[in-house]
Amino acid sequence: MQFDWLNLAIIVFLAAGTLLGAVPLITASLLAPRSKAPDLGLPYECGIAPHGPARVRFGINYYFYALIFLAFDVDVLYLFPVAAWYPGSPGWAVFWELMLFVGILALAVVYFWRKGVFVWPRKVTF
Amino acid sequence: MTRPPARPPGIEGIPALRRSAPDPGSTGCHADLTLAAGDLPAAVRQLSDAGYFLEDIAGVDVTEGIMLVYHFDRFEAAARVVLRVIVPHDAPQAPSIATVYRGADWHERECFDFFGVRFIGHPDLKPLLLPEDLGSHPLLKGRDRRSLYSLLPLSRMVDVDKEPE
Amino acid sequence: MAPQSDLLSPSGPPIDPPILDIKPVQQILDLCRSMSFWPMTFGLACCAIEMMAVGMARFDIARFGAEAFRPSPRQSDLLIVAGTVSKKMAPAVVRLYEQMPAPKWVMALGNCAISGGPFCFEGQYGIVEGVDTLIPVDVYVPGCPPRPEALLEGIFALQKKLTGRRWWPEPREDRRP
Repeated sequence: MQFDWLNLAIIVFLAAGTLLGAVPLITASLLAPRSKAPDLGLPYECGIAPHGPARVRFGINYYFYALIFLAFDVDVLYLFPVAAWYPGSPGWAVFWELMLFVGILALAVVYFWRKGVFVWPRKVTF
Repeated sequence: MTRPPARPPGIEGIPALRRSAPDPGSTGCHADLTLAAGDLPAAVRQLSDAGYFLEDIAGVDVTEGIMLVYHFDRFEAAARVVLRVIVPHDAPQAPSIATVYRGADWHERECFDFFGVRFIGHPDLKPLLLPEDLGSHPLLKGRDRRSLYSLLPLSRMVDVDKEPE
Repeated sequence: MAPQSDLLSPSGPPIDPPILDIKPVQQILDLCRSMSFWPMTFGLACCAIEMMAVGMARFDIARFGAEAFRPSPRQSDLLIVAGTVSKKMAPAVVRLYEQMPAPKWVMALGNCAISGGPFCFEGQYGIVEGVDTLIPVDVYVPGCPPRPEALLEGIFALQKKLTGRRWWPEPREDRRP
């Protein structure tokens, strides 16, 4: 493939994004005073020395959020390039592949629908 | 509002060294019993079965020893019962009631913190409010100790044979 | 009583100067920092109520850029010690001060934080007589409790310490009520 202005623009965009994150960090580490207190790196636990493990079990009910995130967010992310190339693609095979992909993710949406997360039964008054 | 009973229920049969009937209007207490330290757990279990809740465990440093004051009360028909236990200065120990009333855990830690009274059978007797390395028990009066008789009115020290009707 | 903290050694707290110590840049940065302190909510006792009042609408610390009270030392740069420091709490105060990254400043709010306040009497056993026995203090705001305006004046004094001047008008003494 040829290297044209679009590729350059993308590379510049990537570089600008990386700099946007890196420059404040580097500037701060160069221009700010540095504290050398012994307890600086101690994990924060309201002023007491931390005890107990840092990795604790958290509620498994958070899988709801993970699955909904997958079904909506990651789904749409993968559909962006499909949306760009779909008009120019030949035949029905592409359509059925797309339906397969969306169908599997739609199963997750149906699961949540049946669980009732899309309905708020009480009228919310302020 | 229900009238408080003249006699708090459930305290019959507690082997008290001394009992008195304080005036509830001025003292807020309906019964006042002084026990020996060994009789305390059984008495507290009896009060727990009769439905009392623990209000407070306090201490007073007097010449006769360290007097531990336990306040119990009921939710319906308030009837405050005071139990007093006097432990000697040279051996300040009392049985713990933390197994009967879970809330007594912290009250006993506070008494240990400030008076040095050790509660036998307490799950974890460590200082509650003062730093561990303080090295003294601040509420012990030392030379300023007074006698129990100068602190409590005589009406609360008198043994009452018959319960008032 | 814990031995005197090595934060109070003659060389000062262990804070190194920045790698690029260019004075005009640091002056501009100090000006920016002084106009946007992020206080750490360290309300221990009654002075905390005054600190809360200063965060609310009537006395409004947001006018001076300091409304972002952060509960975590990692994200704050001004430690307002608002209240009585007991000896049991003292190790936590020191640890939280150490956990704050530089640059950081400390305001002792109220008489208890300055010198133990009403708890300075012979035979007292539980109170640290002044938080400056534990950590270095930059500005003292006296009062029991100080009025919210006094806390704001403390912020102005800290701004003067950082930038060299006071930026806000002085209150007039002869204001008609």
